[in-house]
Amino acid sequence: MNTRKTNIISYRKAWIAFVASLSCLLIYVLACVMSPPSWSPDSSKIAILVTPTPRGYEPDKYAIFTYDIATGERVLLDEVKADGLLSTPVWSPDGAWIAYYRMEPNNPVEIPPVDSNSAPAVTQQTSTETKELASQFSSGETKEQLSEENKILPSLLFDLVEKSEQEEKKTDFNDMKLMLIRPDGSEKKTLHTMKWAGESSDKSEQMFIRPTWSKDCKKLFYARVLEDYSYVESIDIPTGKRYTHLLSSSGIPSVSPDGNWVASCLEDNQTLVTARVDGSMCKYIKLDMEFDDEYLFLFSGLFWSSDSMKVFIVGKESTLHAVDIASGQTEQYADSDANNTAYYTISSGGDKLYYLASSEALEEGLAKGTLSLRYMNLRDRHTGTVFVLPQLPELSGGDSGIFSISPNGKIVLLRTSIKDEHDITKSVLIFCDGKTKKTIETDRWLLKPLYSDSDLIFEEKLIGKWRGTDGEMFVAERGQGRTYKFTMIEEDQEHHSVANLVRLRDTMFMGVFFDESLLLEKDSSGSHLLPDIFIKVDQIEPKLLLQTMEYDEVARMQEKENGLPAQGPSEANYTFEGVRVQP
Amino acid sequence: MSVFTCIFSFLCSQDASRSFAIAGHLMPLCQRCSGLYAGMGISFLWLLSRNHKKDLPPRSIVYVNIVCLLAMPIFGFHLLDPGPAWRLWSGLVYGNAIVSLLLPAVFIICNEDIRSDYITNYSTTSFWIFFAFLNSIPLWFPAQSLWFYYAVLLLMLVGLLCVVFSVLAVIVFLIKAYVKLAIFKGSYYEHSKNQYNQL
Repeated sequence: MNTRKTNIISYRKAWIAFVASLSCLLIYVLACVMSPPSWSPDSSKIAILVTPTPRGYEPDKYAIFTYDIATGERVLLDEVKADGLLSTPVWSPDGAWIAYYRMEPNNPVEIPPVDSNSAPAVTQQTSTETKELASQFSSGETKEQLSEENKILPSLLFDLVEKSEQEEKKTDFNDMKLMLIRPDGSEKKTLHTMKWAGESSDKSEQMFIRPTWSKDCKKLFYARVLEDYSYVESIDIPTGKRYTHLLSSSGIPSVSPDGNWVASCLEDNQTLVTARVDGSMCKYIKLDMEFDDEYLFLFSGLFWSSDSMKVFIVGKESTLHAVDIASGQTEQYADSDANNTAYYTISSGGDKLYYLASSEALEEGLAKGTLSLRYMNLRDRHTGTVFVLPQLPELSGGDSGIFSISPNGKIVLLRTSIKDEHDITKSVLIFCDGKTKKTIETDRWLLKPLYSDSDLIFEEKLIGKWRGTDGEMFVAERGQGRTYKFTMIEEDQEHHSVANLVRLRDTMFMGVFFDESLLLEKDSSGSHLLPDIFIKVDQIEPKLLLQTMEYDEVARMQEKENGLPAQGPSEANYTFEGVRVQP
Repeated sequence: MSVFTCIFSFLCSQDASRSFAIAGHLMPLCQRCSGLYAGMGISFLWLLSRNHKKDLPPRSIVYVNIVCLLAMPIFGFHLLDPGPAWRLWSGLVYGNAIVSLLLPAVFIICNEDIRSDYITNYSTTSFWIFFAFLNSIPLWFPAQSLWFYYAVLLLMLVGLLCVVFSVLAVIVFLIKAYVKLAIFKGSYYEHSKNQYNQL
């Protein structure tokens, strides 16, 4: 073979090597950037319990959604209205299922204070099974009958009823379902139905109680709530067998990564309870520190180290302590570079701890100073900053917000309510990843569209300048999509909004949007059909008569036959009553 | 180090839970990508120092590199994920394999005319010593020192620049070759035209 031929072969080989090596690198980089399979499910999506912006003590609507942080797509998984309850959802470690508790509306059976002459108060939609239980209680039937119904905890349940009778408390017994659902909502099943006992006012706390998955996704640990106590139980999902593990004052059990231990705490705020899942051992460890009971309830204030040897507990003032379950010794974990730390999250690999740090006090979950997302290597306790959070919006009075950190340590989520430019309080999710900040309003998620694009109408007569008793109003055509542009002038202040005109049955309404972008960016969830308020148009000429109505009010009226008020002048107090001053 | 974080954000998911922390500083790349770019940087420096950049490696070394490339899907797609050290290891050997093929290939492509003047003696012994060193890195990595952090960062940047430089060199070579060809074709055409006119 001559030199020239050798050179040509070598040259071809070089090109092959060049293309092959560059392709390998490109494939790797694309795979790493585009599909991060190591992410735990809730780092790319969140499963979230959405309730309306607080107007009272208890929410009147509960809905569970999954929300894709990157695409903004949301899927409604389950919802119940007033009297029912949904709990905070929990992803399985493999991302295939979401577990939560569900209580049907109008479910409870009230066990009234002892009065042998009065019949038990049973609500109309009570299940037969629950009615029987109620009648057993009221007629004083035997403990054996009760134990047949609730195999695991008859004595405690009975003691509880006796106690509530003595204290003249009203105890509700509710059928609580342990549910599983696919993240896309394609499959849903009830894993187990049990009875929870508690006062009706406990619902605002019960919505934070959530089940816990074992790492292999085969077992689900759940709580059976009985007033101030909870029985921590587990269910083997493939076989359906159930086991009882320990008594706790927190309804959120914590399962060790090796799946052998389950931990919780008692109401004295000093006793840690750990039990082997196989039932061979149960330890009560009295600690020389106090838990932060609120923290334990609202967040995951109890979690295991990756070697399943230590339990991390959040103490008073959000301090973090590790308890060696073999020796019972407690050790504080502190970040010397931060004055205050909170919202601890253990990484999906178990080797890092993420938390929010502030130079000033973290009060009621809201930082006063600059907040940063920091990490601690649990092996050598090295600490560092992942990123500094941007300036957060001014939050509205009562609701200070709850932070949450994704297990991959890349995203911080603040769930809170803020006041918009119209002084309306709205529930929002604020996602921060160190580079960008994304704010998502969730109130609209709970609304159902009352009309479709085909119901939209357009009235030329509405366009013009109108003068009313409280101010002036300009109505203009927005150009496309049969929508109007509104400018309301009150006391020299201009308020801009856009609106759709729609006929619901025989009544004309304007669906008013304070945020114009909702009509511009029509998303798959139909947000462009969910106005902030409805305005009933009773008459356009000779006088424009408008009456503001809440979304829920219109929805309720539309559900009923002939529920919507007839169109035309009435005795109602109009929000706007004006005459045309300019065509 | 926000500049590095920004640069590498286009190349890595930067999963903080799977990134090394050295002396309190979080690496701007995940453990596997840290291994990849550091591996490319080390291999680049080794090839430069050994004058091995001028010829493709012998067949035995090519086979080892192919095995290293094939190992990546197993670890990279998490079919096996035994921990940080293994992630770093898979990145290191993958990076080494890429540069071991890429750099000599680029040299041969860009020096097509003069290649026959170079006769290199690719030492397999030195490669095995170097390969053993690469494989030992996950056993002690990382050292908790600020100097070490900056050294690793620099090495990763060298690895990245090696690839960028290689691609640019080939692009420049192709442009040059194209221009040359166009000029040659042009003069040939003029020459043919003159000859035709003379006839």
